[in-house]
Amino acid sequence: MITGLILRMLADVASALLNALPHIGVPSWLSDNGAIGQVFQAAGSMGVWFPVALASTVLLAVVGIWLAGFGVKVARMVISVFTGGGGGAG
Amino acid sequence: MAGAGEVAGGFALCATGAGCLLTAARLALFAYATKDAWLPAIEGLWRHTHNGDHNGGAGTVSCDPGVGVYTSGSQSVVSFMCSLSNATGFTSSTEDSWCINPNSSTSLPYESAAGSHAGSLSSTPNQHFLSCALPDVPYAFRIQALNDQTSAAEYAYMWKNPAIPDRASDTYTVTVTCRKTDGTSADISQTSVANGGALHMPSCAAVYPGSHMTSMKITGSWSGTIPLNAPLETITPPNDQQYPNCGLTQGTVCKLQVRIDGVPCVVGAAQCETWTEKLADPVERTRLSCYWGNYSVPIQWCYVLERAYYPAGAYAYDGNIDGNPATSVGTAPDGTPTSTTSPQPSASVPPSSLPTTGTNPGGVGSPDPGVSGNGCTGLSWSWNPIDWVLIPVKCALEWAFVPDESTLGALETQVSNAFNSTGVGAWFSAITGLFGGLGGSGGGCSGPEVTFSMVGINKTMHPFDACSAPMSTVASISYAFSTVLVIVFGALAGVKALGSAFGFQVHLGDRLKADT
Repeated sequence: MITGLILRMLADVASALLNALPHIGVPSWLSDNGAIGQVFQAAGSMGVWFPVALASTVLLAVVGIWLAGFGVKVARMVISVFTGGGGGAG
Repeated sequence: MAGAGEVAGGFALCATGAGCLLTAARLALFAYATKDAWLPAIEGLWRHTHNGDHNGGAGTVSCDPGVGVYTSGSQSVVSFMCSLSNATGFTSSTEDSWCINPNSSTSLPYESAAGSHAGSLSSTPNQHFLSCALPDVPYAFRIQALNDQTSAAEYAYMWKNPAIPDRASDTYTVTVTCRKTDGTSADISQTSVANGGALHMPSCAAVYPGSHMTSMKITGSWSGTIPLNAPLETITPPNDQQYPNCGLTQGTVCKLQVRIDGVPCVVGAAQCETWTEKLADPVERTRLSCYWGNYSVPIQWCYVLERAYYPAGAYAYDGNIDGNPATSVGTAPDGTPTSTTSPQPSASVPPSSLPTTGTNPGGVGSPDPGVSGNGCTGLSWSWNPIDWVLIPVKCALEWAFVPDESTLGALETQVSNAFNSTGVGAWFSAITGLFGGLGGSGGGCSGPEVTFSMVGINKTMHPFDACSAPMSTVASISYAFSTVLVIVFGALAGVKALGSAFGFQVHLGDRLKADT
């Protein structure tokens, strides 16, 4: 009941933020047949020499951790406002 | 009349004060007299009272039985001359007296409400007397000396009229009829010695679980049947097929017993004294079991044995004195001489006067406070706090804070649709699609294909071909070394990113410099 209400509010806020973002199409060079796609295909063929799949997984994990840390920083900033700056989120 | 004698009975209680043993005071004195007079005697029968702290005090009470019982107008009187000597700690005395009608044959002779008279008990003999309205005659007379600490009373002397059968030592057989709501019933008898007027009464709840008493018959010095308020019903043969070894029809009675970890409880065992405390703990509760003879029965049947394993013992039918009816359904037989509520032994108190279980109006099997009419009380209730405290609170907290799966699914769908319909979703899909093509075996062992075009000559080469030695060996070494580097630096980057979120700047290089 209470938790559901909070989650519903957060979902509404997230949907509103997403819908407020401008719609920018994906450029052709970012597609699989574009220039970037050919680079990734070449890198994939080097899988015998270099653990491309592992590197991509690790890279995505680091990006994910960074995004999570960014979210924590934002939360700490918001909380510090309510605590009169006592919490701090440097 | 036998010669009037003087009895000097000493009761040395606790000369040293509180902390003394009650065994030193196990001398409630019953006096027997000849037919025409009262002659005191000493009988080693101890009698307990609720206020019997016996904190200090000592002394000697001496009484001259006087002229015995005589009539005066419409009164029957007995008098004594008593004095108190060598007394320490006593400040006052009281007299308790009882009258009785010995001629009643259809009901138990009643004892009048104990009259307590404030009397003086000093070194100077003074008169104490008991009078009863005829045809009642004096039955019991007691002098108590009171000390100056709280309301504890010290026992003094008690005299009984020998013309009345000695209730204290008579043997009585109490037979109760226990009946269940399904119509089955059984007669349960118990023979015991009356203790100061209190009769040991079999407990229907303990011996024949689920039943209540509909009638009681007492045989002995007096006889008669005490009808209860509940109407008597036709007695049908008891259904003891479920418990064939507990032959109710044969009069054999199985013993109701609590077991902890399979070990039967005994009086005085430490964990047995407080076995009911384990009921509140879900883990400890599993250690408890209740047995009726050799039959395992629900633990609720043993609630009546709440205090049965106290060192001083307690009868299964003792009343609740802890103020918590949640764990016991026992009823207290009344009729002791100190009772002032009713002259009749309160065998008529039905066990169901205070309901301990019942059905909840509007209760449902799956409570859901979110639906109108469905509460968190369930289908039934009992005096067990787990049923009416823990379960409803748990239900309410779950309803308030645990979201249902349908709500979570709907919210997830809402957010994912909003994400996918925006440019962010398209970019996310494009980027993840690029990484999805990176697979260990996607490019094979040939490596990337390179086409050289020069002077009209086109040649396709695989400069990183590792399908054969020695390039395959070099490629394996490169793969292993690269894997280690990726893992190590990836972990460092992740730790640094996570630490920066909480304000920690991880600089391993600086730390190493500091250590050196």
